[in-house]
Amino acid sequence: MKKDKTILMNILAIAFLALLAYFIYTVTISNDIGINLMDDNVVADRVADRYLNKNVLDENSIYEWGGKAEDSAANIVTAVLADYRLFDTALEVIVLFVTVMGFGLVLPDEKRKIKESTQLLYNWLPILMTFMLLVGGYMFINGHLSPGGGFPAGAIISTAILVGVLAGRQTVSSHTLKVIEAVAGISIFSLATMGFILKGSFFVNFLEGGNIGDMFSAGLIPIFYTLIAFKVSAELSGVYLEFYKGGEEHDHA
Amino acid sequence: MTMLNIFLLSSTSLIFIGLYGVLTRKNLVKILLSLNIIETGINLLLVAFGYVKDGEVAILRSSDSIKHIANMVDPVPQALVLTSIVIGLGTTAFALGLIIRYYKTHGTLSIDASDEEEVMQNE
Amino acid sequence: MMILLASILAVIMVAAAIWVLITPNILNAIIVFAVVSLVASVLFIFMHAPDVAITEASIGAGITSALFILAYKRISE
Repeated sequence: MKKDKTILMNILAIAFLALLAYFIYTVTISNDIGINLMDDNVVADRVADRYLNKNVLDENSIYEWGGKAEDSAANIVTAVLADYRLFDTALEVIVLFVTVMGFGLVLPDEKRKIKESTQLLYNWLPILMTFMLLVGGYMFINGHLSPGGGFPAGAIISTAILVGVLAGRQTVSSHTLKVIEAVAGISIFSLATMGFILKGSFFVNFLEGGNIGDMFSAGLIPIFYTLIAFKVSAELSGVYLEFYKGGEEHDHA
Repeated sequence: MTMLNIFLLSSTSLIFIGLYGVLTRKNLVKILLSLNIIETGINLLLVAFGYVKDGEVAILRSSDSIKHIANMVDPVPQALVLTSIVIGLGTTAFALGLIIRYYKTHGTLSIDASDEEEVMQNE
Repeated sequence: MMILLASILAVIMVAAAIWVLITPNILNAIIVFAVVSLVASVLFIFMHAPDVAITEASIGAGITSALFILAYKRISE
């Protein structure tokens, strides 16, 4: 009896969702009343045109390779994320902080000991961690020139700490992580306030300089990405360490 | 069949597979996995809105890439999806904490457990 | 040629998503979900979005599955 009811509910769910999917797909591709996706997308008609041509603040701004422009980041996704819409990104980092804090609050308080793994992983861990930290550091330093940026860099750095935990070593204490996170968060908002004092609006890129494609260009964007990478990596490493006991009692800490 | 067709079909089918899982599964971890599948599908759909046929990556790599600015893909959905992925990780971590708590109080991962307890309290 | 590759990847992704739902073993489901995220990151590269692809591969496929597995180990012992 109960089994029949479950099968009936499954069939009803499939039928309902298939109908819904059909309508959504036809609206997506239709050329008359839909959102006209199957025509060629014309980016020049969208708001992205201003971002691509870098004339958001100054309408007559035109740029050349190796010259200066409004903000001289070669990666335009980075320019949108860390300059034009930095408010979104900064508040999003706060959302991540709140969810991670809630995770620590909700989790029951019985932690496991960090167990020592095989000798091979334990001895090779410094070399592995060095390479992972190098990749992460390259990503946030080079975020305004190549794909990457602060968030994946923070994820990779925190993965290095996770590998350390799996191999049986706690490389940083959770107190250090909290200090790093607090310092990075305070620095982001003090830089925003400095922009307000110097140029009159929050999160303004007051350090403009450098040519497009240079290592030292794009003003404040690499600094913001560095801070974001440290904050994200500290938060995510805190999540992993929530599962385990602190390293004080352990021999290899 | 163009590239855009493939992206739209696969992302909408991911969204609806995830919705089906949320509606019919009984295990809490499975429901959370279905929610993550929905999230992946929506990210694919949003980036597909900015796809341009024969477009280019929105990065200036050399001096002649400046001439192709009119041909680049839309960078705004990509920036939004970048933040959405990170927030998705935060909410997933919070939901996993809630699931561990649920398992500690109820002793099972099934969503029927709380129903049965309500019935027993009413009787 | 690219269309053929993209459609094969899309079919793999959708099949893996269905597999996540129907497999009875939760550890299998978590690992197959990592496959869904990885294939999605390859599709992001087909859409000319390398930033999103890197983020999805490191966060969506890496850290999310690691968190799921840590939580599942905590539950199952």
